Amino acid sequence: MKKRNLLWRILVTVGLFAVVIASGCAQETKSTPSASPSAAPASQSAAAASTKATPKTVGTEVKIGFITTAGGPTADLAPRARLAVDMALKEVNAAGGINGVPVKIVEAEGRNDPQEETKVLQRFASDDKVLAVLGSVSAEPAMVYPLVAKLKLPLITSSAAPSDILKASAPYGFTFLLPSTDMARASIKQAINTHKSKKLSSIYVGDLPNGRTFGEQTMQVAKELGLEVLDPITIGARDTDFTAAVTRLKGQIASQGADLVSIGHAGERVGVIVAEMRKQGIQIPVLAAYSAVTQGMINSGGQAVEGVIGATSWADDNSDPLQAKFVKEFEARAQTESPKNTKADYSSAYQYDVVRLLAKVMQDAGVSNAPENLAKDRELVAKGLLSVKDFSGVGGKISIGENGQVIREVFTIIVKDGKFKLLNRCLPSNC
Amino acid sequence: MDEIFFQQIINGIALGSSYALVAVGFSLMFGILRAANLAHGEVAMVGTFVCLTAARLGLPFPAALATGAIAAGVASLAIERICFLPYRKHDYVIPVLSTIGMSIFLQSIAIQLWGSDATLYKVGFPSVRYEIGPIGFTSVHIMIVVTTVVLMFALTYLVYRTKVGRGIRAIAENVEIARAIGIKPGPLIVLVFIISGPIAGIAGILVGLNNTAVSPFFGLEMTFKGMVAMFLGGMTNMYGAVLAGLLIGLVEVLMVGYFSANYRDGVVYALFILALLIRPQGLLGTVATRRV
Repeated sequence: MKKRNLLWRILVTVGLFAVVIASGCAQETKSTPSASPSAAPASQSAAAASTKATPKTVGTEVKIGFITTAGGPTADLAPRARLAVDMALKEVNAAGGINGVPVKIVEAEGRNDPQEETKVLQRFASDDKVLAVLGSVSAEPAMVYPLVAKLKLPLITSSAAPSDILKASAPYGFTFLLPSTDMARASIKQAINTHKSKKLSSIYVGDLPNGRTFGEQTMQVAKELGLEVLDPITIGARDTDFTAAVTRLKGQIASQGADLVSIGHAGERVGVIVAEMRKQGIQIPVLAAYSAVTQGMINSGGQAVEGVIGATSWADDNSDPLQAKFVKEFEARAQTESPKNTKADYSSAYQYDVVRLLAKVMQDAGVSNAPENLAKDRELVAKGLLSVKDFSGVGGKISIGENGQVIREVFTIIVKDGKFKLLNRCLPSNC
Repeated sequence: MDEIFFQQIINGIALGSSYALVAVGFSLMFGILRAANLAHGEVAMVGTFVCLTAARLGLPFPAALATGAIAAGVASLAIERICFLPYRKHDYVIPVLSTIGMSIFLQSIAIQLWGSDATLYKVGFPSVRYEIGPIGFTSVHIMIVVTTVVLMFALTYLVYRTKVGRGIRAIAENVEIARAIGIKPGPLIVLVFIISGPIAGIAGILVGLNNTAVSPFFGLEMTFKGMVAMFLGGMTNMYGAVLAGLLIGLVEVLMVGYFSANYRDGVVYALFILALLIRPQGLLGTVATRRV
């Protein structure tokens, strides 16, 4: 009797689980209409009907890979990026997807680890059969970028990729981030004009290739612009205690007269370092790396980061109507979705633009999405990206150079009242 | 010796004291009870963030500190109930694995509740800066050092001078014999976890105050550094744990201050290995306390 009761309970439990799982799946299908053509919105159906006569694109979904970095020092960017990608995806699919076929984002976590990122790229290429990949990669692009040339898979990220690495990944590797030398030049010039700076101290991450590249390039540009450059102070990518590094900086200021410091790290860490500087009584002007011009810097630094200068392609007071629309929608969604109450910044704008740009390129190139044409479609996307000119991105026009490097205006900004205020804007060639 | 060197020494003492506080908790749990709680750093993290939340809700610093410490105590107790109690008669490996799982779980929950970003740690504690000549230190530095010294003496007194402490040491030596002489191990083990939790929570809060910001990922580092300090100090010796914590803090700070942060952890762990090769019982440990 006891055994029968036990069996009955197990059956009931398994049944309940099955019901819960089934209802969950049904809910998921309902909540993602874009995943199914039958549930596509009216505009999408109309678009599909209009292309029915000459179906350029086939299949039930066009797949784009999305590498996220929820771990490591840039972890604060991941949730914002996800929200921005989702916004763009909904827009693209509401407008009919790619010739009537909805776009699907296939997300994978790269863990901010180049080995994991290469695995993800290989999986995207062979298993998921995506047409292109977006997202951000770790601070070791030399280990990741060249792989896409081998896989013949377009990769467009918001991460720094030096020109030699882009060359090694051509014509499939692209970066949406402006060259770090251009941004360093713009911000150092601004500091020289505003503060009459003469001697530069640098604090940067010494145990990551991109951190070292940033630090060395900044020092090189500073020398070219006539500044005296002092010995750099390196910090670890995973460090959370910066008291010793800041005290060392204090020593440089006292003994060698440094009057400007550039800090290269992710935004939230730069905020912490500047706060520690102010705590130790250091008041010299600060230049933040492009990677630091994020909401994370303002959140972690608070009042201490007021006056920090940086160069990026984002300014909160940019009057661009597309930016105003993007910010309004992003922040409205952030009221209720994760990450809650966050603000739009350059990283989220990049991801939003990349999804829209990829969709436009795919549409214009007329990708077929047929399994037998996968390689040809990827090649079309790569060629299409290389010919992008004056695409309307958030904050301004975007073009892509022949080496896969984005061409857009550099914005020099200053943190004022917790916002990134525009000081100057110029094309890299004129900065 | 210039003023920057003395400033770095102050930085090292502040950092090392926070390691020392966690190490003292480890000495109680692992050194004395042999309970290897690898989620102890996460207990510190829970206390730190609960204190922050309490401060954001408007509680004054003492109340927020107490709330954080209580939350850490509850987290520590929960770890004892979930990761140790069911496995009292099992091999020590199972609780170790269970606490690793608990550590990841607590970190995930914290990320969901407070986000993965580093957060500015403002809990209402007035950070006042004092200058003695060219050397500067803050009220946070004073609080860290005073708290560490007071807790070290209080715990040493508890373990070596009270009936409860004798009971804890008795069950650490041999549970069966302790039972035979009328000592109930259960309540004493629970007590050790309840005491260790708030100490870790307070350590985390002090780290937050000292570092200006905290993220949910800092617990892991606290666990490793706390364990290293405990081993280096001599397992059961709380003075040793404090001394080792301070040494680790000083070595780290001097590496960053005068060489490169890239070797910070590498040098600490290399010195740890070297120290144990030369003196396996730890700096202040005795051979008699060592077990195979």
